[in-house]
Amino acid sequence: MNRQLISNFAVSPNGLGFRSDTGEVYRLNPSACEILRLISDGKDDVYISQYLSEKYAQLLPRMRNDLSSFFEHLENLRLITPHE
Amino acid sequence: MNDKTFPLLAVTGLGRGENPQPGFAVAASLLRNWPMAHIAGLAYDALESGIYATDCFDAVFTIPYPSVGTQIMLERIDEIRSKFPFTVLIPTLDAELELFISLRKELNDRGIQVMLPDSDALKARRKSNLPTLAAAAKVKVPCTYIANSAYEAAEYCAIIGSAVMVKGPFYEARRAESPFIASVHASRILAEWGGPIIVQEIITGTEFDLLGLGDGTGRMLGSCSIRKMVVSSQGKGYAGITVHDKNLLSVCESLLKELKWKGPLEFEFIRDKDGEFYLIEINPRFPAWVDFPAQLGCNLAQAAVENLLGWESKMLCDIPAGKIFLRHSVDMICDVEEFAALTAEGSIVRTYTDLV
Repeated sequence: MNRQLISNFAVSPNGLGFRSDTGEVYRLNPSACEILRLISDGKDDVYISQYLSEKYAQLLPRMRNDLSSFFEHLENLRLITPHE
Repeated sequence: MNDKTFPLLAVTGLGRGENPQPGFAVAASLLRNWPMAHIAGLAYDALESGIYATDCFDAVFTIPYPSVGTQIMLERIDEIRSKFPFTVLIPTLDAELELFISLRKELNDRGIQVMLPDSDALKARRKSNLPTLAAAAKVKVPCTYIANSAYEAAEYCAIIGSAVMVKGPFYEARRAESPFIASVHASRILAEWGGPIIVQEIITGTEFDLLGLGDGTGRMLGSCSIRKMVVSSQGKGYAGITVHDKNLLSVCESLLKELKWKGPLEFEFIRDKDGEFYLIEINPRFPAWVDFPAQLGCNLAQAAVENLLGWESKMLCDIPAGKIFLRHSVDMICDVEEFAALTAEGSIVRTYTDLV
């Protein structure tokens, strides 16, 4: 599945997320930054989980599970939307 | 245009204490663009702190409270103009607007341009009339009742069935958790400000403000939107961050079009968890944070004066989202002689004397 960041959300290189329509500011850890960058580059769930699983030497099922929770959190915050 | 040919300006609302008034910020914005401008502060009380900001006002004069009526106010304005012949007046306080609107012709006859909305528009944005205005502009408002007594306020609180805001016609808004508390707040507000009392459902969410400038035909000449980040116990925004929200702007444009507002105004909204904006209030003047956008290059006080005088106005720039203001209190120092002069003689004239 592909996802996209909402158009009003920007992430700075130093890990600050800013939503320009609500003025909400998020402090992001390096892995969150990386995931948002991958989403922004148009990478799908499969690619992101494989990439992170290799990079952080984690089992793929666990990485998928963690990512799924993180995406759900981002969707609840309305920062990402599904993009088929 | 130099300092001798530039129109002399006068501004009210100089207090910058716990409940800051907009006049000082308006003057600061005007001086930001026109450092040669001469501005008189018109104060109701010698303890309005902005009076003693020596780098802002060339002169300060006391004026009588609006309750004295038109004749006494007009006489005082004539006295003031014999010392400082201002030709532009910028009222910034809710409670004085009706008086100045009723004096508009007399002031215009004296060559004074006054920044004021139309009388009907002023009435239409009253807290008690907001539901009607909002319906016409297709904007949401919290469930609102108008009470004329403390007993009625308690009744309406019970009808709403949850905590409510109890508001005065001009100032004051207090949260009431029960009908009894609603009646206590209503009694207090009625005693201080008179009626009617507004009893309003509380919408849970985040507070947003939009400062707009109307041209009188329904068009918005410029605007700045913020999310309040710090709110004082009196509901005043002590910190805010600029935002860009097309929905918020569109809602405000609908309201402005409906009102055909001329001059500045501040829309106050709550955005609920679903992203819906609920109109809470429309303040018929600049907010106390007006100098914040001016410092970012969007000088709405300047644009308002240009519009008032029929001068060509530059396009107001778009303020980037993510700029933050934080209100910062400082202690003003003044000499007792200045304080005494204002109290006894009703005036302080500082740097303007060479121009008279």
